[in-house]
Amino acid sequence: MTTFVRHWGELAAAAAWVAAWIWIALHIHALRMRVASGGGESLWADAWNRLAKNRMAIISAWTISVIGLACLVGPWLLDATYGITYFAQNLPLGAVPPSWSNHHWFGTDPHGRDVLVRVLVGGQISIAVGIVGGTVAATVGTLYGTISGYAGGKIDEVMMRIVEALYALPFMLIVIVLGAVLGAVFEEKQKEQDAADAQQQAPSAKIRRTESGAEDAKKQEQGAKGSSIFILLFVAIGLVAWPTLARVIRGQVLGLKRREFVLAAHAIGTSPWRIIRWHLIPNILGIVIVYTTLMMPSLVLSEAFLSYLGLGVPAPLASWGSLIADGATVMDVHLWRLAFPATIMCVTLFAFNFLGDGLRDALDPKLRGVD
Amino acid sequence: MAPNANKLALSVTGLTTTFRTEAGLVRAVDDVSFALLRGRITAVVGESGCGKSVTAFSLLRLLPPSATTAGRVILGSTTALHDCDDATIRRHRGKDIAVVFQDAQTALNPVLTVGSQLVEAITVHEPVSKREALARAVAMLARVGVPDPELRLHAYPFELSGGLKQRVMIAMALLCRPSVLIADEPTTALDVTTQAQILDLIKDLRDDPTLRMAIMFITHDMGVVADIAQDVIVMYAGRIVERGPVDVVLTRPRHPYTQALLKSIPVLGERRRALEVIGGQPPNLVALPPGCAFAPRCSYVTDACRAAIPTLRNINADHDVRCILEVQP
Repeated sequence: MTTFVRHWGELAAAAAWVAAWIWIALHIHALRMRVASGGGESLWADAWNRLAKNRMAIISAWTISVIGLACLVGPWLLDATYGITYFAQNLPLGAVPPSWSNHHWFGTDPHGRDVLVRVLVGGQISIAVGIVGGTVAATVGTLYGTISGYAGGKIDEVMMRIVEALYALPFMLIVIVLGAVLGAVFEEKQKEQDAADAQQQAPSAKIRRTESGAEDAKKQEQGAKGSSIFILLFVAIGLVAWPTLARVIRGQVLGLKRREFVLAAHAIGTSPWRIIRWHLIPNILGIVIVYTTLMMPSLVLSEAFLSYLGLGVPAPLASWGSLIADGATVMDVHLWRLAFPATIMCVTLFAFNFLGDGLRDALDPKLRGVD
Repeated sequence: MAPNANKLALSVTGLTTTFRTEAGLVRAVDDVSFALLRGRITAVVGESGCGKSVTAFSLLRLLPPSATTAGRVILGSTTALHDCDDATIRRHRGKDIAVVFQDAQTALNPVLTVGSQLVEAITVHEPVSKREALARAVAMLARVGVPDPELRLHAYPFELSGGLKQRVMIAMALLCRPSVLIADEPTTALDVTTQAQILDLIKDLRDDPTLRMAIMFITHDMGVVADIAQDVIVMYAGRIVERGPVDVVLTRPRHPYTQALLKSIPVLGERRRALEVIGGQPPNLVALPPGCAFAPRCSYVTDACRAAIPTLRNINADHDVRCILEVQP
């Protein structure tokens, strides 16, 4: 039972993922019904119709959801079925090539850890970096760009000079410094917390130290510590990625605010903040979606690069970047340790790019009504 | 003006709007004064770029930051709009003075439904529930002649025809029952039959005793002026050159510019005569001639015209003209 309880988190995430897809599917269905019934065709329904005709984009969307779902429920299934976990070591089974018979379909590393489960767990982290980082960047970039473009004049000048200053700083340097500073701050707090916990719970901890209990405790501790550090890392990556989006959005808003409907909104007495929220942001939402989708692969790649340099997630956690880094050192003897994570990551990044391209074509207002 | 005191919706005195441009200061509106009365349509006519729209937008300070406005704008008989702060003028926009734009196609937000835009126009000014706002929107759409108003609430602007969009714009302008309606060439972007329908609607709204609006109708179409307006203001190069009741100004125009405008209207069925045009170009507002702005194009011009700017002088009852000559039509 403990194995199940341990994975409630993954199970909840998987359920949320499935629910999200059902929700999207229902919306798409409703839009289609509306179109089919001859009712009005909203911009979104129209965009969906064009996206649905783009085969590469649809295949990519399915690829992303299959890989995402596998990353979420895969580790749980492997544990429940074969007792394979991403951190459990088994030295006699070290560095075994891929085979069907021993359930290590992607082979193992020299510690005897299964590569498949590590690719899946790494995928959770890498995709989460893309999604969290992308969301942070999209939110900050959209607000910043909209305010800058709408305010214009001196405010715009100052805000855009700040963006240029951020551009001048090397991207990786900022992420590394942010990660290091935030990580150090967190570790300090964690140590204090650990010390306090050790004093309070020393007797009961001793009693619970059975073999599997120790493993559980170790994993939970690492998970908690690791998760806090890489959430900080995600936010750092997201915060560094927003200036590009802010610039794109500002350019769009500069064009939009001269449109007559903004003047008309002024003429009915709408306040500037309401104009931004109500009239400008819905008009740029398509562009935000497209840029965020296209930005996600580069964020995943940034995380992989940091992990490759050894600055990403702490061991024994894995991400695609750290797996590729480990695999690259032994590619002439244990090719499977490089080939599997690299292939999965490439496929995911390609899928994000194709989906982004498809969304751009679908949401481009200039292509409305053109097939 | 005493008998009209309770009909006075808006009075404007010495309105001057200047734009800072690369080429220098441009005085787009120069010392313009007029009054709008409830239940009457005042037409403002003139060529493109003569300051008609800038005059209208100056009243609500809807101009870009490069514009500065001077003069007095009094709403009703007491509320001064020219020296209030931004938050106050925002409360008057749409509530007391509403605007109908030339092209409803671009003046409606393309990604929002008609219903949500109508609701916004109410909730910006009044703390009403969404349900009540929707009910009022439906009633107003029905009032301006939109068929199936409940269905239209869910429509996006691009799903409506040009005439329907303009009706929606008019409904949006009327939702808060303004005392002044500014219609900035509301029929220019429409085809002729739709134009006639919208003009009928505006006349109907003018005569509606529950609305009691003063309408400022900006146009360059003398035919429309004759059709709907009671008063007319003719503008040239940012100045009023002639104003008065429509029947007087159109039948006995005294300014050479007004006369030239009226002569350049094609008459149906008349084939012999080539259409008269006004020679030359409207003047560059950065470098206006020292005297009468129309002097370079005027066929009656004298040396005195070029010497000093003529004053707007009263010649007969409400009929004013900015010309030193006695040119008979």
